Order: sequence, then C-alpha cells, then structure tokens
Amino acid sequence: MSAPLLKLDQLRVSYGHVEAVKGITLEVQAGEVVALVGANGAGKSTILLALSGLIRTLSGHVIWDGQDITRWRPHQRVSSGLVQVAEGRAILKTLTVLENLELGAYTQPGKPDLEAIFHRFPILKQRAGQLAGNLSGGEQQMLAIGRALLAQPRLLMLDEPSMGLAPMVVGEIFEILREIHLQGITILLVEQNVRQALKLADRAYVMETGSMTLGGTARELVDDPRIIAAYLGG
Amino acid sequence: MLAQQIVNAISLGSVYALFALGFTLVFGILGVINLSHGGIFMLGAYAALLLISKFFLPFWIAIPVAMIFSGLVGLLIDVLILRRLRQRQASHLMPMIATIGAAILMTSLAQGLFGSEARRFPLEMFNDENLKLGNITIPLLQAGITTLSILLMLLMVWVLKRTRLGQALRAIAESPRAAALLGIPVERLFYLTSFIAAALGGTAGILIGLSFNAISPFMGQPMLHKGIAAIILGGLGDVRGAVLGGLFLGVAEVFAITFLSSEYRDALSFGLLFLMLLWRPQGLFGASATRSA
Repeated sequence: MSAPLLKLDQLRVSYGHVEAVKGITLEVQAGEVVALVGANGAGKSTILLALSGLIRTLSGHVIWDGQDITRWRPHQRVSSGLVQVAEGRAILKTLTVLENLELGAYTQPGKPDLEAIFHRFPILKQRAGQLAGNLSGGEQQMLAIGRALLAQPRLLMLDEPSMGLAPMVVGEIFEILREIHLQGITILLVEQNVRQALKLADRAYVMETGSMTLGGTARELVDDPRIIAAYLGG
Repeated sequence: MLAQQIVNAISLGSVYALFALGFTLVFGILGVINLSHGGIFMLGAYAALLLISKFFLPFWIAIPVAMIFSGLVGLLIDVLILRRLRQRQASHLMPMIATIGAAILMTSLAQGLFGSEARRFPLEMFNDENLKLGNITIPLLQAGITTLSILLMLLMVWVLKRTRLGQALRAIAESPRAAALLGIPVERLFYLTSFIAAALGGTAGILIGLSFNAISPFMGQPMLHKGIAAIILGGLGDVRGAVLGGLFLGVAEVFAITFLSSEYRDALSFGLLFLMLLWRPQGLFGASATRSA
C-alpha cells in the first residue's frame, strides 16, 4: 500500500471538558471514500473539526500528504486542499449565493470557474443573486458542496450531508458525491445514515464514545451482524 | 441661516459618522465592543498635533502618518488584549472591561506627556479662506474636514461591498467559524479590522481637534458616548446604520445649539437616542445582535 493521503495517529481531542476523541488512528488513501459512522456524540464531528484546525488536539498527529499539519491554521489546511463541508452546512445566510460561491474560491488565485459549478447545480445559477438564507435545505447543501469544490479539494470532508433533508434529496446528494468521487476527489464522510454511507464508501470506521470499535471494507461491514443490529435496523 | 446650519450639521455629523464607523466595524466583525475607541480618537489628535507643531510636518503628511499611528495603536490593543481574550473564548463583558482599562491608560499617558490643559493646532498654517455658495459660507478647513470624512466612509463602504476583502470581512461578521472553513485567515483579518477601525477613529480625532481647535486628554470619553449612541441608533454592527446614526447625531446637536442653547446639546441627542430605543430597540437597520456559531 502506498503512503496514505491522510493519517491520524493516536489523535486525542477534548471538546469542552470532555475528552471526545480518545486516541484515534485512521487512514485515508488517495482516491478512496472512507466513512466514519457511529451514534450521536461518538466524536465523529470532533475529528473533522480537529482536521480543519478549528479545535486544538491534546496529543497525537495529523499527517496530510506526508506533512505533519497538527499545528497548522485552518486557512493553511484549506489552501492545501483539505476542505470541509461542515455540519449544518455553514452557509453564509446574509450573503448571496454568488458571494458564497466566490468565497469558496477564496484560497484560489484568479477567477473562480463558476460555470462548472452552475453546470452541476443549475438551481444555484437561477438563485445566484438571492440571499443564501432563502434557499431550501437541499439547495443549501448543494451550495455548501459547490462552494467546497471551488476550493479545489484533494480531500473533501463532509459532516452529516444528509441531516435534515427529505429522503429523495438525500439520494440526490449522495448521487452528487458519487460523481465527485468519480472525478478523482478523495472523500471522508461522517454520516448517521449508515446505510447510504456504506453504499458509497470503500471502507468505513465505526466509532463509539470517542474510540474506534470496528473498521473494514464497506462490503464486510454491511454484512457484519453487529452493524446490522446497531445501525441498519436488523 | 438654516442652510448654514445644515452645512454645519453635516460637517459635524460626518466626523461622528467616521468615528462610529470604526466602532461598529469592530463590533460587527470581532463581536467586541472596544471601549478604547475614544482613547484612540484622542491619541490620533495628539499624534497629528505633535507631528505638526513639534516636527513641523505639513498637514498633508502629518494627517496620514497620524492615521497610521492610530491604526497601530488599535492593532497593539488587539494583539495584547483582544487576541488573548479570543483565545480563551472570554465572555462579552471581558473585552469591554479590558478596553476600559486601555482607555484609562491612554488618557493618563496623554495627561502625563502633554498636560491636562487643552492644546491647539497652529492654525495659522491654514489660510482662512471661505467657500461662498450663495449666502452660505463654508470655511475651507471645514469643507476639507467634511470631504475627507465622507471620502473615507465611501471608501470603506466600497471595500465592504465590492471587494474580495470586503466579502471575507462580511463572512467573518456572520460566522467566524464558517469563514475559517472557507480558508479565510480569520485571525489576520481581525488584526486588519482593528487597524482600520482605529485608523478611522484616530482620523475622527484629528478632524474634531481641527474643527474645534482644541485637543485634550479627556476628549475621548464624550466622543465614545456619542459613538455608542450613533451605532445604537443605526443598529449595532451595521455600517449604513453607523453612518446615518452619526449624521443624525450631528444634525441633532447643531439644531439643539441653534434653536435651544448649547447646554441642551447632549440632553437632546441622548433624549432622542432614548426615544429611538423605545420605538425600535434594534436601531434603524438592526437585525438582532446575534451571530451563528
């Protein structure tokens, strides 16, 4: 196996006074879709926040493309292609759809290629001049993903992209993620919708209260009785 | 007579607006009420005075240098005080108390260095020509003061509305966390905001010093109150609101002096503020002053 694109080595993170992540080791190879699943409060989102540099780690290392980025600032991580679509989408509601997209390319030199995004998400073109706060939940998720793509991600991290969306829209979002992956972007997906996540992912890790309990290929995990009992509703 | 008073009101109001603009930028972007803004206003005026009367610089060099100096004072306050409180995620009260401390320190420093009595610009350096528009007389100095404040305000509005930097600043104003996830260097832009806001505040100090021809270590405090009034009138954190609030305050004061007497100046303007808060607690343009995580 070649060197992983991203490696978490014994990462410990506290959130408030709680140690939310208790020594996690995890790898993502270039070109993979890796899912991180588990119950609410297991520490999945905390890992993503730490990967984006928004919360400090207690100990351990984050190795990104061979470099130790554990102490990097958030904007340095985004510039290097480690991009996150945060939980709740983090849409800038007081700015227009177009401004949100333009800011997605903030770390990129030159004019952003908005046409490619509008081609993928025609609805965003129609709504370009509107305030992003007026979009529906599904449209906001498309905006969040389109905006993240403009940052030229090499690894796209998504935190609960299905949250609060109707089942049909969830299917649409996952179809988009599949296409993005086919274009060669590596994906690290945190998701409570375990069934959808395992359909998309090559490999998955299962977390419980800050620790990793299971890991393997998505195919193995789908048939694992523990997973079926806990997450897929037997 | 009335037209003349309107000109005076706009002139005074535009300087108040400039002061309030810096104040509201810090609130909107850093989420902090910086109560040392009045102190920076005062130091800006002294910096210009010193450069002109001790170093004999022409005013068109002294004013930009004093602006940059004021900006650096604001940057210093950010790096020494506000940044540490941000890192600790301190409550909203802490930066207020800490910046009151900074303001007291600045006032004492000015008292120690320059004495407590009011100082004057050597105004002989300005020719006392007037512009005549019909029967309105505008001293050239007053015209210059008004023009400079209006130009600086237009420049800020243009930056915020039309540039990439402005977009990034508005993103931070809505959510520093979301902005960081887009790769915006949030901490760096906090510093820049503190610098710009203080430069605007210091400039207002220079211009008030010039127009009343009096500079004292205590001039910051009443101005701070006016600044707070202006941004509350306009709606906290809103740039248009701060500009209109400042202009409104200038108009109220000038008309209070003209039609009542100068003793009623502050009573009238703060009375209006009180009425405004009864009618519209969020100010003219205010959304509620919350921000998303």
